[in-house]
Amino acid sequence: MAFESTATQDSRWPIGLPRLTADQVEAFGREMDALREAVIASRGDKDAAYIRRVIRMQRGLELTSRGVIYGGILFPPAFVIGAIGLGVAKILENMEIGHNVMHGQWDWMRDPAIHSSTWEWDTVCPASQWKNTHNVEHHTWTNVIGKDRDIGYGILRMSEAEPWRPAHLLNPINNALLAIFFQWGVGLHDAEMDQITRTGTLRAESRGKLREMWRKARKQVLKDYLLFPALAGPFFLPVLLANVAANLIRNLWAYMIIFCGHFPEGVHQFTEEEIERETRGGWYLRQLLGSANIEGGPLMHLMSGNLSFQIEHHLFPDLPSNRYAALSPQVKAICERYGLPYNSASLARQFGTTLGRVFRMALPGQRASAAAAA
Amino acid sequence: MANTLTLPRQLLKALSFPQRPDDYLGLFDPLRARDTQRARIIGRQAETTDATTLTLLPGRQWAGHRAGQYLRLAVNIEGVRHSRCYSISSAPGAGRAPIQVTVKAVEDGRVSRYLAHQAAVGDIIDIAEADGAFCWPQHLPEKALFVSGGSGITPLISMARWAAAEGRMPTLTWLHYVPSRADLILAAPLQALADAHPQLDLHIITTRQGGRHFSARALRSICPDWAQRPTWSCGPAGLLGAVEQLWAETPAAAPLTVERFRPSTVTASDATAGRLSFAGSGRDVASDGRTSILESAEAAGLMPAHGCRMGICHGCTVRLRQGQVRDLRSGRCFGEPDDLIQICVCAPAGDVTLDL
Repeated sequence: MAFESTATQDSRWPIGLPRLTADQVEAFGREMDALREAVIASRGDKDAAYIRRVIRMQRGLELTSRGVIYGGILFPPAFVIGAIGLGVAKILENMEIGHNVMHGQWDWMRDPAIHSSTWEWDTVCPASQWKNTHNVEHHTWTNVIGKDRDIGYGILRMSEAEPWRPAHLLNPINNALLAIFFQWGVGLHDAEMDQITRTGTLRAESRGKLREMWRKARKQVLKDYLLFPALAGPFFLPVLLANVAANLIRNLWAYMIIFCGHFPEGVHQFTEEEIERETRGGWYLRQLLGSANIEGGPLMHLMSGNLSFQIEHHLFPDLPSNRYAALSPQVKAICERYGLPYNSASLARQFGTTLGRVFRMALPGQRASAAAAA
Repeated sequence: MANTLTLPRQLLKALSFPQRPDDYLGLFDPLRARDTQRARIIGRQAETTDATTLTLLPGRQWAGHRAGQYLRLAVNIEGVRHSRCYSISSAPGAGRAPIQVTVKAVEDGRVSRYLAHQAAVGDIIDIAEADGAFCWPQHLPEKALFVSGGSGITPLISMARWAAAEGRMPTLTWLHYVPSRADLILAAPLQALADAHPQLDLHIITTRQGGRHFSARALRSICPDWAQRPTWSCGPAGLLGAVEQLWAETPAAAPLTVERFRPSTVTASDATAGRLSFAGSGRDVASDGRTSILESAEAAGLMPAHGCRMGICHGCTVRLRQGQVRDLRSGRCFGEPDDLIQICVCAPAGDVTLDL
């Protein structure tokens, strides 16, 4: 954002916030840089042990859950327990491990087995495409309307800035479909399928991405929906259902956590003009104002891949996720000194207001700065 | 899927996707891995105050080694992976026979200090296949000469042990230089070899206890027919320099094979600072002209493939797009677009762009 120390009121400046001078914005940025440097200087054995422990635990849980599912042949409730366990294992793999490894949070260990350039995750979206849409597009252009395609994923209307069309009446239904089939939504994201509705055709580049996605997706489908069920012989169907359920659990949870990151009430969206002359301090400020945390205990943080610290994650996307918890009170204290908001609330409040936005955006009307009204 | 895989293997692979079967099997036994070479430390023995012999049990993929070859191993220190090469000091055995490396802690040597002082029995470390051409020829010579210094003894003792185990020990004169008796590593097996083989003429020269450094005169008096003997030499740069010079001055001498521990580097004043750009990843860093491209790339967060880190294995070669590089071993500047550069021993000479 081009924050300038002009005396006139800037209509673009989010309502309800104290006016920062350009110098203050840069000072805020330097404080964020200092937090970052302190973590980088202290990364070591404990952090490495943490991610290795999580990876071992996740693989152990995954293997055990697969076994428990087959136990359902003798004791049917085990189908349910195994499906839940497998769903949790997939959540851990996708969120605390895959998402964070692909961000390069653990590249400093120089372990080729836990490296952003080599990790492939347990979902239909190829790692290479995810690193483009997420690490490059979303993290660079966080909440900038027209630039950050994570605002609605080309499927939902999630901002007043997008002109209303009658099709947006389907917002709640599209939202439910996206939640249920979330891994496919993420998988199709980089191919920019929404261009069909605008241009009626797909670019060659997008077709290539679709082919690449399918090359990976079919292996996922083969594994979960054919091979593992087939190993159960006559019990193909219940094992198939357990795998479907596990993927559904992961889809719903991942969708919810991710939507709570940037759509709850109080999160700001930005225009391209606002970020025209954005400085490093301004970038930090945009990450802070554009993200929201979820309050909870250690289990909540682990299961959300520490995206319950979405603010810290967006300020420092490549710092190890196990460090966000300790960074959070430090970031919050700095925000208080600058009079800046720090959007952190319970899952119920963050997800509730997110769903509220989904419904509100289904209807026409441009409630001015609805997003900013706390 | 590759046709070479058996059906159960293909099935395991498909069931493990996108991870590998190893990732799950490794939960139970890290040494069972098929795609990753690992070894377990099963013994450690102090050689001197700063040198330790580690005995390693390699995993099931281990293909063995030839006497004189080195092993690249990777350890995690303060969470960060570091890999280095060490000569194997044990003789090749059958199958997964344990292998030994002797590591001397060197000042500023993060990995050597860790291995010599901290690595514990039971630890799992990543290893690579044995590599290197510092070996006996296919037909063992009747007479040979070894010249070693310090931990340069390690590949040579492997060669001597192997020849002894085969019952084909050549007539071998061995000059080994150490500062003092207390610095001698592998003393007991060395003495045992000498005791068991009258044709092994072992000279341990203690340079800080009255012994003289390597010289042509000393060599002539100990081994008058040295120039007729194929020679293997391993040790610090000073010793190797003297040995190589003598061989250079004696064109008729039998072949000399040399193994270096670390590249001897050019002096700082020859360096040319510049901008080092990695075209593949879009990153660029400032270079002081003295740091290898590999180290600069790693410091910039890249993870280039590499092997020995000393200019031997060519596992790190990268295509040069633009600019010139300096070989840190020789100081020579070179480079044209499309040259394949060994980034572990080359530093930029001015602005350089690479396919990394």
